[in-house]
Amino acid sequence: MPLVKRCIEPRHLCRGAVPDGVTSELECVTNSTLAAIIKQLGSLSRYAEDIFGDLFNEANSFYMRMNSLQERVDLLAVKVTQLDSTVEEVSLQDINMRKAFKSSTIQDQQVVSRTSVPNPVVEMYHRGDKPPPLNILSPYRDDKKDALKFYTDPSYFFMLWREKMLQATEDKRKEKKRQKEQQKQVEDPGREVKKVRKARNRRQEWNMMAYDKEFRPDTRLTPSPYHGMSSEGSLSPDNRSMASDMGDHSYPASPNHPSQPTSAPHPIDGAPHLTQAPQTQSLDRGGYPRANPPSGAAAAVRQIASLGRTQPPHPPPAQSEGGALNGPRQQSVKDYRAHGGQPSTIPEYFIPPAPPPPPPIIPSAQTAFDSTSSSSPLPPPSLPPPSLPPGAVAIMSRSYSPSPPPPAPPAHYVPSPSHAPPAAPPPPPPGLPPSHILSPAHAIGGSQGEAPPTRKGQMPMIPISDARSDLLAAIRRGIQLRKVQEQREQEAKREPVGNDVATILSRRIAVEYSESESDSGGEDNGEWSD
Amino acid sequence: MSIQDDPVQREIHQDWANREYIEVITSSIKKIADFLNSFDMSCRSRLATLNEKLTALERRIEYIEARVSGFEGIHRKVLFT
Repeated sequence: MPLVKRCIEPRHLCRGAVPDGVTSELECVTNSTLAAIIKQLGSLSRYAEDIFGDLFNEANSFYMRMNSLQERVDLLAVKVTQLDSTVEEVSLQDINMRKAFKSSTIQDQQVVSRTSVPNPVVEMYHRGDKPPPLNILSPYRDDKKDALKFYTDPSYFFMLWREKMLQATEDKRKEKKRQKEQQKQVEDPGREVKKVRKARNRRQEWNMMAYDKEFRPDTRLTPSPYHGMSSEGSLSPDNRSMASDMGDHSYPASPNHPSQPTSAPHPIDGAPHLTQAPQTQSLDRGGYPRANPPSGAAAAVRQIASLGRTQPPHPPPAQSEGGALNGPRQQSVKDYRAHGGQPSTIPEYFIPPAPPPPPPIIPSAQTAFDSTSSSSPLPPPSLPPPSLPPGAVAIMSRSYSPSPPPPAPPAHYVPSPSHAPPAAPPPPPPGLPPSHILSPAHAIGGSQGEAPPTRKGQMPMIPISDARSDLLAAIRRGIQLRKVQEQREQEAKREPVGNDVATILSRRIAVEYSESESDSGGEDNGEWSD
Repeated sequence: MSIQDDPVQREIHQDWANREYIEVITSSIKKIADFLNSFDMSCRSRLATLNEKLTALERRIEYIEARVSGFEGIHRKVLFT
């Protein structure tokens, strides 16, 4: 039986009791019946007014829309008469380059909601009993929830659905990351050697290529020129994603470096978490190279300095070696990743790590980092070059994030390899720590054989203490900042969700769509990479 | 008997007349209510048709405007109402 929307009030006309002491009962009944009829007519007219009001409002809105449409049509008519085909030039570029027309799609939301309930139903609702006033107990609750929500919560199902959707989007994002990692891993074993070589010899390759064949000074130092050429097509994101889980990658490709040897060219997804995760990992790796002394590092550094400046969103994965250290580091990095990546507020400058340093050096680097963060004296005298971009610093600091958290007690510079493994994902220190990382790297290596072209090459040894104190201060501030940042990021993450079914669904679809894109792109890249 | 019956009869007669009168009124009230319901339904359906036509017209006009004015500054977003 349908719900009665409007009930005309005196339902029964003749059922009122006849008052006592009335002789002509039949007349009495007739009169009372007629009175009830009048009441019924009254309520009927109220409902009729209601109905006509609704219809009138709707028709009015259509009238307004129609009016605006009419105006637009008039304008268009005028404009069309003014069109002159001889005047207008449409180039071929315009046809192709212009953004395709897309009409504004307005989705109706909240169609059946509390606000769109018709009036008579609202009245009927108010006539019902109210739920018990449990809300007066809510100030006494510890967890700041609405007491009434435990009894009856009209938004319960929507919240349930929303949580499910958000969770699904997060899961899909993580899946994407994992797939990329897996793909990178799959391609890893064959690529490591290549990557190492390419990273080292890029510059040399270019120099070689610059000369004519007759003038080339060295015939073939390494077969890498061929590799370098072949790796032209690889994209930096491949590098970074690959590097993330690969302990053995030797070098961080500079972002978007063409010769990067990534085997799995994934499309450069803008997924922030993806970039974050590889970034953190790469930074991790980057931390390693700092500690590394060698000429290889120098070469890598040089290359990186020259190459890796510009692309903040694609920090090439830092590739570190050292099996043992890398293991725990990778795990920490993975864990870190699992946490949804770090907030990528800091612009990413990738400082490619030096070639795999001997393991002892790595912990020293870590400890150096820790020491800097914890304000222990830095062993190496080198200072981060002032020209270091803050992004690079940030990246460096990030690389250390998997390493023991900066607030951890200062470790002695050289000996605390143990610090490396228990790396909790510390917040990315703002930028100064990387300079520290650089300094240990330089300190370890002494002056590298080939002065790094730009920032790295100019590391003064003298004003160590000042820089250190500044760095320490900055690190401290950075830590605090990071907490706030984290909170803000979390809030920011919550905010854009809104309470819109449509927004939530669109986000989920976007994630799924990008996922499918990346999958297909990854497959293609795999074919290309060879 | 006729005299005795007359007042009662008259009363009952009168009562019947009154009841018929009331019945006429109530049945017309029901007709009014019925008419109101059906008017409401038909009006809403026509307004819905109108709405669809309006929306279609609006989209066409958007497209024509875009064509005429050469795609200038066209940034389409998905709007949520």
